[in-house]
Amino acid sequence: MDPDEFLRQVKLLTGSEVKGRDQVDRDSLAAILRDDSTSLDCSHLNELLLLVHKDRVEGPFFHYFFGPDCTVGIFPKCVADFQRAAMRLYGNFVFAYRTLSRIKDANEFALKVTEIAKEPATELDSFRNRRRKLLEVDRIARDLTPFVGYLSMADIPADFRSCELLLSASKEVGSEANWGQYRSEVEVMANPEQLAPLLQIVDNYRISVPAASVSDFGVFLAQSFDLLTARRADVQAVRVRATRNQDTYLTWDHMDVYFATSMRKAWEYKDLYDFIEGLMASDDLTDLNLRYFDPTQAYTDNRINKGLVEALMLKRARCTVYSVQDTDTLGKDSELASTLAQGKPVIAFIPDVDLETRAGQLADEDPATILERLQFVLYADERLAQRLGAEEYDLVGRVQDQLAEYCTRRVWLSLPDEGAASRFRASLGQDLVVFCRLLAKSETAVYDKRAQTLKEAHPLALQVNLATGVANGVLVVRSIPDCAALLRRILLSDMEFTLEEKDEMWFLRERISGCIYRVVTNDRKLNNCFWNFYLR
Amino acid sequence: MSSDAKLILKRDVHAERWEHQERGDYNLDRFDQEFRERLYSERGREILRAQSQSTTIRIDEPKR
Repeated sequence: MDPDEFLRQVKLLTGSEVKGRDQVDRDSLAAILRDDSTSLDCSHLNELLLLVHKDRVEGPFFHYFFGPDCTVGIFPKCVADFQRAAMRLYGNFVFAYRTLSRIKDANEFALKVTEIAKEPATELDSFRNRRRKLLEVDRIARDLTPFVGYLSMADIPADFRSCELLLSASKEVGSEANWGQYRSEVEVMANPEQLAPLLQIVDNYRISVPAASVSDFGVFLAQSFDLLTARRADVQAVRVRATRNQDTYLTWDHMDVYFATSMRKAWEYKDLYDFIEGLMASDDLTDLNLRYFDPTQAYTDNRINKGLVEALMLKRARCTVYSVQDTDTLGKDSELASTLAQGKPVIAFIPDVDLETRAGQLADEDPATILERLQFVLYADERLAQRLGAEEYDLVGRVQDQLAEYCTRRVWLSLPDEGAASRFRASLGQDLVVFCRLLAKSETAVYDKRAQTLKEAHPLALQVNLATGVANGVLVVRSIPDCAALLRRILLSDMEFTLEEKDEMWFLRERISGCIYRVVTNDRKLNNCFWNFYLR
Repeated sequence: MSSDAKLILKRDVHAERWEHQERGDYNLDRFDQEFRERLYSERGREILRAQSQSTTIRIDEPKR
């Protein structure tokens, strides 16, 4: 190593330039550093540091970063190890060097570097040897998870009360009444502002069964009333179980993962359920006996308490997995920010969908869900129209109209009619296949854009640990295996990083996600102002 | 968003049947009660009550 390279390495180690370079004894430096195999111990390093006007280091610092086998040749690697540690612990090379190099007591030093010094094998043992939980979560089945939401199940009580009113009207007019008499009775019983949706239910039924009488409708309503009563009971039963699950989550002594998400529509609950099930069944995670907060399994009927529960879970979990679904919302964005501000890792999962598989999934969905997916991509995919050819453009409009017509003509919103949905899909034929492929392509474009924004564009993809000032970056993954592998490395303190200097910045990049995890800027003004408010 | 995309968006799309107030209130019973209040006219509530009472009376009548 030549003297100039050594001066550069010392700058990297101490975080500041070597001053008075013209007074450095370069001949002595050259003689000491000539042979890369020359071993260096703590005294040697200190003598070299004093030769270039820098503060010396204490034993624990040398032992941890340089070790007994240090030579001139591996000195740069040891400096890079120090830089990685400095970025993870302090986000500031100067402060890290000053703080850690001056500690004389080995135990005190060990405490300072605890967070980065954990042994993955020891961590793995502690996960594998966890005792069984005293309280398990009562797992709610996929199709029932929308019942823990408010918006996702609002159609059930709405259908139930509408059915109740229409059934009462049918009893009131008797089985001999004609449709005119029945409609008049509904007008009497209904609030005029709510009359139109009620009459729409009547009209939809008559369109689906053109020859039906008022008496037939009464029989249909009585059957529907029983079904809706049962559905309401299902909602109540699921909520009782989900409330108990919430209590279980609250009493768990430790929590590994929090899943941040926003769920409004029924399919958003099912999507998240599938993602969590798939992730937790991964080979990378099954042996860890993880405890995680799954929002599809918990329920609180008070918005204030719900917010407090989620805030507590965010504090207790070691990391957050942020599921980037359709809409960016205040809820999950706040959860992401809260986790980063605590200095904990956030994994953002953005699905990298296979076009044909996804198109097939969409085609099998309920028509109302397909329409909602279209509304999402129309909102989120700015380039959708430009990508469509003239025929495709017409097809999207045509299928959209038919989907809208189907949704408007449903009798009940909360009782699925599989027969009608199948007939509808069959009537669309190849148009539906092409439409769903276009939808899938658009979803892919939206997800790719979101991933690119979080990875490369958005300033707040890196936020600051409010206690320490250390910048903390979101880790974006696009597949469940990558998500599982990264989660395992986070929990076992086994993350791998590359160190880069680019554009006057130092970056610590996480290997699996390829995302920036820590950063140090070389902007002198910003550095001085920033660290005056954190480290003084 | 391009003007073309807006054209698709502004088509005569399916309107929600009910306008559910969006809020962080997760209480099903309260939602149910409020929806019922909104749905019925005063006369409708009287009819429903009367039908409910007559059902109760029929159930309570001793078998002959």
